[in-house]
Amino acid sequence: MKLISIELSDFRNYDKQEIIFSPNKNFIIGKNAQGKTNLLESIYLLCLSKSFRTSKEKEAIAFSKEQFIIKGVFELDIGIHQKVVLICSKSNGKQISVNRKSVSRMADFIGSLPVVISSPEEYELTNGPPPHRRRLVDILLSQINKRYIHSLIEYQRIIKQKSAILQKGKLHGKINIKEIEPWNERLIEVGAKIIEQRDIFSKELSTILTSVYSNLIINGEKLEFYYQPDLEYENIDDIKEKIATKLNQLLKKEQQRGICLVGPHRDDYIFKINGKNLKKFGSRGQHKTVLISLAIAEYQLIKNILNTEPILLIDDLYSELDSDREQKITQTIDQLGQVFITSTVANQQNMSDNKNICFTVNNGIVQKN
Amino acid sequence: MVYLSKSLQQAVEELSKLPGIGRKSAQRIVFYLLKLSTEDVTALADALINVKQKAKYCSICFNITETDPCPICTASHRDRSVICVVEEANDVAALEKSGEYKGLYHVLGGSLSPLDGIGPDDLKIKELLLRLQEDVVTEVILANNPDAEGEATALYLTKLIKPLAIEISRIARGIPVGTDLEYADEITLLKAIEGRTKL
Ligand SMILES: Nc1ncnc2c1ncn2[C@@H]1O[C@H](COP(=O)(O)OP(=O)(O)O)[C@@H](O)[C@H]1O
Ligand SMILES: [Mg+2]
Ligand SMILES: [Zn+2]
Repeated sequence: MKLISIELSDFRNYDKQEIIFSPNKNFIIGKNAQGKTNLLESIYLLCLSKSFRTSKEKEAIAFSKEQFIIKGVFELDIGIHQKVVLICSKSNGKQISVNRKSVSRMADFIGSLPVVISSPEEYELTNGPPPHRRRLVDILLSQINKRYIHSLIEYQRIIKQKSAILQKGKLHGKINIKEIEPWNERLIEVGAKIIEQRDIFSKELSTILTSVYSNLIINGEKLEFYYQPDLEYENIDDIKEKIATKLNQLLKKEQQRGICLVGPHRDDYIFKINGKNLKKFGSRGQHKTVLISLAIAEYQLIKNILNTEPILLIDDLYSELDSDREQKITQTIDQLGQVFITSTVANQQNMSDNKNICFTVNNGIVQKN
Repeated sequence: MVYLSKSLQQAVEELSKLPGIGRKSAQRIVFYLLKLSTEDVTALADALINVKQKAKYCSICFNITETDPCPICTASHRDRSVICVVEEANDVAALEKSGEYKGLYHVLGGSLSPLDGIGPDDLKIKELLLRLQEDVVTEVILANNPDAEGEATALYLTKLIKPLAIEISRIARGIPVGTDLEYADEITLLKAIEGRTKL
């Protein structure tokens, strides 16, 4: 799948902007705060209906404007064109249409235009608290597995509903166990499905990630990615039993504290380099290389499973990298499909390849070089 | 801000309280109504008042009806040994459209949702259990929506009904019997297949 063109209206620092892209590499060069990340964000939003920067898309409406519009034309692998329009207004929220047909359930849309981002604004993926890593895996799995996204939506509702019971119980000092029971049973059922999928795909992602990373570096370090579930289990078949047991054990504590203490909403993942926790021991350069490797690994996982090349967005590619890594990364990316790369510097030899296009961004205006 | 007359504002205000209608759509509807003849607008208003005055809940199944009990509950040709439990009256309409189901219904009036303060006592659950205690009912079909709240409600009901030795099955409401499966989306299908087993 390729993004042929995009049209932005009142999106962040863009007023009106139309851009026709290369189906290969698109380099977007500009000084700081000119709109490079904003442009990648608009592409990401159009593909996924969600931003990687904020959960409140309205924040991206240009200051003092009522709404933003992002229009894009995609070419699907079977050759047909697909026009996607996303409108987000202060009063009516977010609406998406595909070929003029309005999308009523976002879950049906997600995954139809797969996309992957690597941005230094996402440094908390390797450095921050667990929600960032859960979000990474959730978005990845939601794009490749329809069952997963539906389980996830249901699971989030279950947790909210159960929390409401616990909160009320905490307030009034007593809880009717009968009321919690159906929610706990669904939590076990749906939670187990989520854990199973996370277990499987973390392993797949880790295998790819190890190989991508080893190709980008020269010192033979080994990068691995592990699932750290809230529940310990040896055999995935026992998982339902394990959740049930822990729910029983923590029943009192959940009631005292008024929050859900058991289940995959408390999962985490861990990056290890040569067996050592990256979060604790990683250097800046390692973090940066891991973030880029991660995006390339996600790209490959999506490609393997969906049989189409997702759109790859790489923000600030060349910052914080030494020239060896820079060259290796450039070579690796050259092998991939449609990629959007932003940078403050324009000095790469493959920018001159005539399959690729180089743009300059200046204060919300994009020009083809 | 555009200037709107007071009566116009009021109409927009009322319409935008309806489900699925935002302020923009409400404005569009009001401007459209203004273009209609007085007769057409009166006919619409009368129809709304009429439905509010005439329609009531069936005292047996809680479907919306003009006669109590409703025509389904009183029909002699329907199978009185089966009750299909649904969330809302429009689910009855959807299932009836397929024309395949010949049993009776029970409309719960929603699903369990602690977030909205809806507990078992806010749904017609007691009334359902009373109906089930009559010995003619041998089978209950739970057609709650296939979302988090619907699934939890179905589980809650299953626990209550099991001791009554009545056969219970679960179907996803998305696929009424006889509907062409081609038109159901992938997930509804999955749910229907997974959920077909007896509970
Ligand atoms: N909602 C908004 N409306 C208008 N301008 C915005 C909005 N959000 C961010 N900006 C502007 O966008 C610029 C940052 O753009 P960004 O793409 O993040 O920069 P960079 O080119 O460094 O990646 C800043 O000047 C900021 O003020
Ligand atoms: Mg930036
Ligand atoms: Zn009735």
